[in-house]
Amino acid sequence: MFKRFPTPILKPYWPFFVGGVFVYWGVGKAASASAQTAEFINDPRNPRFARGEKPVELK
Amino acid sequence: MPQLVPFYFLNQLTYGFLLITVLLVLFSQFFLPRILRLYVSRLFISKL
Repeated sequence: MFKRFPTPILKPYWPFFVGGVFVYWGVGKAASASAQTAEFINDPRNPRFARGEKPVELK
Repeated sequence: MPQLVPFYFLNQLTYGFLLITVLLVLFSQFFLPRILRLYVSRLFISKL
């Protein structure tokens, strides 16, 4: 089969993993912000309905 | 278009990052060393 060579991955690429954490957090913030806009606040797929919140009308 | 619906962004990002990491490990530890070995062995053989 294929022999595995222990090429270092964390040692040279750790800044990109750190950046990935920031991107993940930022996208999470952007996603929850855009889920509150008028376009998506009453979308039935919005997870806030699973938490028991009610539809907001007249927005 | 489901990719533009904000509730799915984190899911897309999670699987995207996972895929990139898996590909990175696969290529750097298995495929590229094998290709390099092939070329190096051909080079050494040609010098005999």
